[in-house]
Amino acid sequence: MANNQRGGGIQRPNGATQNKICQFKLVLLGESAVGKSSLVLRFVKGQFHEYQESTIGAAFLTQTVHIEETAVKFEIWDTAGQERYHSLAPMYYRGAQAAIVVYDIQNQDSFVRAQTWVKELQRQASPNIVIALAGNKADLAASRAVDYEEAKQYADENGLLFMETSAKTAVNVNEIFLAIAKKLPKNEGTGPQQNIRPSGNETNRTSGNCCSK
Amino acid sequence: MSDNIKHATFLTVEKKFRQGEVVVAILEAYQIVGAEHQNRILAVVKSGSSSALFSFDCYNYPPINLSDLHITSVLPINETFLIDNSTAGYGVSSHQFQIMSGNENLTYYYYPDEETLRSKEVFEKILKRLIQEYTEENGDFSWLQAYKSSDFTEIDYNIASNKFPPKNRESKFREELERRKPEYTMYEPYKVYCATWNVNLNQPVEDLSLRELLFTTNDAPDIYCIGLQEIDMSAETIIKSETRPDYNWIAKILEGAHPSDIYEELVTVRLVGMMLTILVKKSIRSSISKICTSMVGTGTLKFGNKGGVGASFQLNETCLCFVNSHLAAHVQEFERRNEDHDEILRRMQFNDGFKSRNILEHDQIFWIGDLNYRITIADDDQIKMFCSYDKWFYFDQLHIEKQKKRVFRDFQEGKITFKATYKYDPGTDEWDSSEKSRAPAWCDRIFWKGSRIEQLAYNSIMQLRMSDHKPVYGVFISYILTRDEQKFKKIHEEVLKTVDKFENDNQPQLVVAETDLDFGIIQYHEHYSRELLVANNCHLPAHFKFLPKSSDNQRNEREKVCEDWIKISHPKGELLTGNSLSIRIDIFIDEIAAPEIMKKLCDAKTGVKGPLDILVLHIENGRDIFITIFGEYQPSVFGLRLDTLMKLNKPVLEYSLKELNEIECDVNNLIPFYNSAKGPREIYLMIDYLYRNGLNIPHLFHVLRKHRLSPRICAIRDWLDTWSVEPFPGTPQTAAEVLLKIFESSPEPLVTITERELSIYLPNFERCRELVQNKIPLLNRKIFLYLIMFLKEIQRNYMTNGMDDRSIAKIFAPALCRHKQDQLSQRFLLLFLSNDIKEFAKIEFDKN
Repeated sequence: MANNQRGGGIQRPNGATQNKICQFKLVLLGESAVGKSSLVLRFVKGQFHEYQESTIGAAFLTQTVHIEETAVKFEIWDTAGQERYHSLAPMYYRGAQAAIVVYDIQNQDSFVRAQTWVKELQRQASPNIVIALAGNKADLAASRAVDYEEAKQYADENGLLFMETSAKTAVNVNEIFLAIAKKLPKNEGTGPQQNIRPSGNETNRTSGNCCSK
Repeated sequence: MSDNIKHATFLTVEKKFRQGEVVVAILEAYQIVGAEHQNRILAVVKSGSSSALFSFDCYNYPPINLSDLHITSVLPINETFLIDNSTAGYGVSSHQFQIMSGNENLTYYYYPDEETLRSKEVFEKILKRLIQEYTEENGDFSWLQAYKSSDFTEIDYNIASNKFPPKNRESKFREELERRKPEYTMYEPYKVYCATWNVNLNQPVEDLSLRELLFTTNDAPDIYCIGLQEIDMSAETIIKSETRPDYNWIAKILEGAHPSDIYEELVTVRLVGMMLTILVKKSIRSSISKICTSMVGTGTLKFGNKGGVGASFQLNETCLCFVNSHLAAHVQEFERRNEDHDEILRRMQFNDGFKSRNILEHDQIFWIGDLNYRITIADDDQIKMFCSYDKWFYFDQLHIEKQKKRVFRDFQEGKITFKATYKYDPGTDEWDSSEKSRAPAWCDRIFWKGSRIEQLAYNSIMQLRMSDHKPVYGVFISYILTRDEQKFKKIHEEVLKTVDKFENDNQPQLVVAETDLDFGIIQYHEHYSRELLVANNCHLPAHFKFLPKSSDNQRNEREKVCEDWIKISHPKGELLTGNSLSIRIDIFIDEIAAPEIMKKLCDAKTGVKGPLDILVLHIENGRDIFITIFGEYQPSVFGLRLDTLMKLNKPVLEYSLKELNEIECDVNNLIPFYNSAKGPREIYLMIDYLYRNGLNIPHLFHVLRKHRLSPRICAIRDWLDTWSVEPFPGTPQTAAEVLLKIFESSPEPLVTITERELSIYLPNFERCRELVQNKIPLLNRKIFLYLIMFLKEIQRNYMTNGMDDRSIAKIFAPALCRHKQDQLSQRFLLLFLSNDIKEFAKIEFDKN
């Protein structure tokens, strides 16, 4: 009868669910060939290509993860790592709420480059941007050139999330995105949301408020 | 997987393949995508002598229908095929293995139960055997094409040709959530209590209690729907079509509701004498949304003395509608009653602000009221004696009309077991004893329409006697579609993933033939062109445009798509599926661009091709592609500072870009001048040539600059840039044009006097001469005076060349002064052309 328990959870007026959807723009930065696109491909499609083509431009993908009651939709911009495209990076990190700065643990230079990316973000990106540092290619630890402790210490000093990841074996790939999702503010109306698009144009891929109920 | 399930799964997988293709083994696994574990069925399939591994997404586990399985990957088992357990780590990743073939490298996980372990062992053995069996001769994998293409998103030609817009994320989300509704919803019983009463203008007096009408069940109803008629039929009420609810009646209704629960008034709607009140249990109020009401007055004047009032709302996932109507009166007027019914059905609209729906567009409808249909029989007294409906329904107009499908089509009514509800002497249970002695009738009725409704009771209340009608009530169990919030949450999450996948798979894509466009050596005043081939090979139309880039510096510079000297033939456009487009990129370095490109290449080394610019080709709702423009700029005398030209001691081509830039930056003139005191070599050469060959040429300098784009300019450029000893390759007209271009291409104007300064001192020649003395650096001053002397000479030959001082000023003012408006600078030049400057020039030329 009508008094019986009705399903689980709290009944809400129809049309509104308690599942909040938060939308965040996330940008991947780092030297060429450190595995930015591979990390995204692993995270979004669960795939890995041994010979991933070099990104000449900026690829866009979306992926939603769930943190308790909240759906966190990442709008991921995977950028070209080649130095000649450096001047175009602000188009992509402008308005981003999160960034993953990637280096290759076999390549000290890429770690140094990662640090300059972090500095640039701290100086020029949104002040509340959540930055994660990813030491990628952790499956190739045998030829490691960047010490875990060193990177960890650097990350701690700069308030970055840090993980060593492997797009190839999937180690810590989902974890690093989840860690970012957890750290991002999910209250309604936090922070001014800017256009997701690199420049304010007529495209509809914009997120009005951070969270929509 | 238990053996039974495994066998069933095996059979389903087999159905996915064609004859001659044999499923050799299957393995249950999963992949981690985002934070989600997705079921996979891996199947080894053999066809002829070649075999392949198929990976299926498994929507429902175990798969029963073909649609439960969707191919995610097809990997031919060839020389590149490998199954690898070596990447296994700790935790979940200890149950990880990888499968590689060609460029594909996929990670799977298995459930570490004993059975799976066993099947995995068998599975691996079979795979290893097949890998060994593979040779190039038997490696015919053409049969796989059928499966690979089936995996691609099907082309919808209406979308591909831009007839329809592609589905967006939001509509896909709603569609997917709707499609999976059965998975997260179920039907739950609610008790609906309907009551109708024609109160015959009686007021709800104090001692009236509606308990008798509304409290007839043990369980408290969830929803009450109470329809009253004739609460007030005064002329005033009718004329102004009264719609204000009668709160005395509402209070009575609330008072009369089932005492074992708390109710609140959800909504009341009134039109003249008709009023419909919906009460709901407080506890279900939050499950109700989209509440709206509607009213329809019928009859000749549509005032609303007859007609209907209705309420609509959504309870969980079910849309409910309640209608209370009072149809036309009198025995013979059954056709008017039918018309009233149809009119209500036609005109009653419920608008919740987003969507408007009529009565029939609801899942469940309850229609109550004084419908006024009578019993047509000659002898009224007979009806009075036999008041059982069983006996009379053949004569019930409503029954007859409904049978003929004229009213309440597809509506249902319960079995009537109560006495006719009309017409009684008020205060009694006696039939109408008035003069009219109206025949009894079942005027007051309750109908419903919709699935999953059961009637529990249908009766009248004899003991409520104040009206000439008896009230009628009906009790129902109504099964309401309700969301299971736990399941919904899970499916909502899954749908979001599906939508992500949909969005990622449905990005418009373009391919470009090359991302580096090499223009080779770029020289001043030459046209260069390259084609950028762009093709749309995806299943969606693609809109593209070149995006403006943000400037690095925070200055408020205009955001530009590219440098001004690069022109793109299609800055934006649209490409339908299968089409391609050749976008032409042009470079032309003119007088304005020459100094700009010099500045830009400040750091570039000569002989090294550096990127001149990067274009951002943006595909709407998709990715961006960077197109790099390469080229090696060869500096020329055009674009250099006038003082730089005087510091060159060898042809400009023999300098490196870096050396030239050093000279350009030498603002304090530390580097000595190598040239004649009057001006740069290039200016001297042109003026000298024109003195000898051009003074009598008609229109030597032309207002329209007819020789602006002459190919001879390039020859003169080379002649100047190489310090050639050959004869001058140009004509007087082109020499004149080059003279102007040298002034125009210098980074700074020759005459460094502002418009404002001129506006103060014009037309006083003496004051303007002072301006020249004070505001123009010595070097420029000398060149200026040298040029004026030459122009005076031209002017003197006016009779032959037709050049008067006005046209000379008109041509030279913009080139020398570069003001926004040229009126002042023209007057300034005219002043110098018409006054004697010999003495002034002599003094200046002698200065060092």
